[in-house]
Amino acid sequence: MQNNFKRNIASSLIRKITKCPNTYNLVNLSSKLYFRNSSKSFKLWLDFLFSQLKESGRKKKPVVWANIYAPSELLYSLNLLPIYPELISGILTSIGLAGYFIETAESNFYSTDLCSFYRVAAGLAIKNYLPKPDLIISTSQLCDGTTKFFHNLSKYFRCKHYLIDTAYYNNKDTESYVADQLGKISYQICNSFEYKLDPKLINLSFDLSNKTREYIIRLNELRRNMPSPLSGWDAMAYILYMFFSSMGAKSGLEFYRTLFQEVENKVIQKAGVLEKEKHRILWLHQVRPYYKNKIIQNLKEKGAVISFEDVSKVYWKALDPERPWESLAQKINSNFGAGAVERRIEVIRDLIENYKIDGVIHFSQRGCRQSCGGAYLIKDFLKQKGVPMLILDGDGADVNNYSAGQTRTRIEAFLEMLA
Amino acid sequence: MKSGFFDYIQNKEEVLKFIKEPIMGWICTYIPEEIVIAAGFHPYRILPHTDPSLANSYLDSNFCPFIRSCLGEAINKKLPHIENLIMVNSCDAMRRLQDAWKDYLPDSFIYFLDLPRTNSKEAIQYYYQNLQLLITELEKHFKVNITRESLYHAILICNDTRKLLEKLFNLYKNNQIFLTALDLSQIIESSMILPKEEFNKFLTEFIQKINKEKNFSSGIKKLRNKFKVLVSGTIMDNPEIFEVIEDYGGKVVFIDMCTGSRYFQNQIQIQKLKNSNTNFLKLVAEHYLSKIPCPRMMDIEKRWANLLEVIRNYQVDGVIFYNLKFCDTSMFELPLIKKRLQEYRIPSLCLEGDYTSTTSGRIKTRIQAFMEVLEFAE
Repeated sequence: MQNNFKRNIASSLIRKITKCPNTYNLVNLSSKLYFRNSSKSFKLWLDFLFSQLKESGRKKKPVVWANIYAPSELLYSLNLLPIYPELISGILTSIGLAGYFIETAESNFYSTDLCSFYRVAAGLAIKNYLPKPDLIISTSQLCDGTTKFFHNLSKYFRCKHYLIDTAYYNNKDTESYVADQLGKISYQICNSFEYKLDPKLINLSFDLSNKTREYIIRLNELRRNMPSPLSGWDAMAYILYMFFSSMGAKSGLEFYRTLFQEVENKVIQKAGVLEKEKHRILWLHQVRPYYKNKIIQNLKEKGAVISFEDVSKVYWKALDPERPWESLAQKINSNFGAGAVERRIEVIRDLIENYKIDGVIHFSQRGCRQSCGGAYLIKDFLKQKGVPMLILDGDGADVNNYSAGQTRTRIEAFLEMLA
Repeated sequence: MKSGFFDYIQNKEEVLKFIKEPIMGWICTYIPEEIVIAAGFHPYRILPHTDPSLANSYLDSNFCPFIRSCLGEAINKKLPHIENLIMVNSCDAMRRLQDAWKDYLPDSFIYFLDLPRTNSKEAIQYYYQNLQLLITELEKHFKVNITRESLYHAILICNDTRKLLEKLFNLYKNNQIFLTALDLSQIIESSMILPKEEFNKFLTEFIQKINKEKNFSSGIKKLRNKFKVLVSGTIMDNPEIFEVIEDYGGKVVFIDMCTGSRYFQNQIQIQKLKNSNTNFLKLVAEHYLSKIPCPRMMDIEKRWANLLEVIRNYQVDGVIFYNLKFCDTSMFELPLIKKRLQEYRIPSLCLEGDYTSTTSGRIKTRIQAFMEVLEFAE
């Protein structure tokens, strides 16, 4: 009884702190101090992350919780402030808090077989530790869990859920199906918050997104260099956060411009991630483990570097502000992870060639069906091409599903094969 | 005494030997059998019965056991004559099944039908367009002609099956016949596999017969019928579970599953069919997107309203959720539905099937414990 009382007091105190905008000023300052030797781009990410959390507490704009494949350009065009629970889950995992939220979710009937990132996010929502969203937007792309999870969130927070129902095929008909929904949803959102759709904002957001896209393409081009100038381990962490959440924002452009310059300098100085790069690895699947683990160390010891990861591939065309909904629909539809596995295999084939890849690691996130389901087919394809592939079963957020010894043995055996 | 009808449905393999039409396999209840029949095929629902480990070297083990079992049976030639298949974009697992099927069984004809997640006007129109594309592909590939008349005829056949199953189900749940839930489940499963017109004829006769014979019994056992149980989920891999529920004093009053009432609830409206201007295909599209949705669809409120109506109408004592392992769409629905049931003080139990027999002992114990909970709650 006494323990429960103490726990409730502690929870409401944490809630007050995490919902207070000034908290994030303080956290940002202390993070900057802690990471004082980190790169400028990393610090720009910290600024972006904490300013978004701070602004979501201030509520000057409607706060939207969105999934990573809901195009952020749409959200900035509608003058919304986006928060991405899936990305926040990754951050909570990296600071060792995932277990607490996973436990909360599981005690609220979220099965242990579900994707751990959603279990963390569900726990966070149930605990109500972040400023509440005013609306929720999600696409049904790639993963079944997304659609239902965001719908559940809308029930917890009693706010409207706008679903962008995506299509399996990528053609003109499916483009209009998605574009019609985007147009309709945009007008509904504007109406519900009593403002008009602003073409200037669409222009600005699309322009920023296109410029950012150019920098990402140039950055990806730099990453073809040997030795690899940027580790995929970083690309799947704070850089990935910006990849999904900052397209169409000024901070996104500034971040990628800075990152590009940093990587360009490394290429000029011929400075690689490793002093002696022996094996260039392509990492498949959009996540990696974010808790403390030894995977990157295991790779490093054997001279292997993650030269590229499929999630960083720019798969969409530049956006056209004259045809905003069609353009965004095209971006959604051209995601190579959607549809048949052949689309993904085609991209993997090109990446292997372009990045002079020696071996492929497919990280099979426990709880992720869409990715795990295609792993054997990809492996069969790569076998024909003579490219070794390791299917590394693991979990990005739930440390209980990580076995350091087993993972090390599997990675070592794989790298020996490459040697 | 068991009726001749049961002999008929239990000898599916024999019946299938004499089918003249080519077989078209289908996997999900969002695939309109009407189109398959109109194209001159015999629609055959793929409901595997083997251990999913047969597909271990093709699909990850962290994956839907139904899908793995389907692929395992197909690769090991355990399915009857399935060379043609219509799949639907129902979930991640189905998408990957299509990839694997195409790759490992390249001689099959496979059509992958896209399916929206809502029943908005736009979604119905999109689904309608997709059905048109399916028809075009069937006509082109098999050189058949799907006419307005053939579609009309097929709609009537499927409507009859639904109507008859509903009639039987009503007799069953109102205790007008002594049929076990396992019998009922076998009848529903057979309706998805056997030739529809013939099945309808046999089922009509069966219903007439049991209407005449008061207290008809399937001859297996009389039930205690103490607790009314609603079983909700996706696909029943192990129908013996119904027997276990009955053995411990439960009466399954409703089966909210793709292999249960969701297959036959609601019919395509006959009145609309009589109108000469009616677009039959549009009616089909509307029907499939407007039926009680499965957990894959977005309208959880409609699902909840249906469950609540059943709970109230049949004074359900407890709900058993029976889902297949690794089914994300069902697992994500449970937190909301279970919480609401708690608010209504309806006890519920979550069970998971995996197409293996190893779980049955554990499941039996859990059902027994659940029945004790119901007894205590009483």
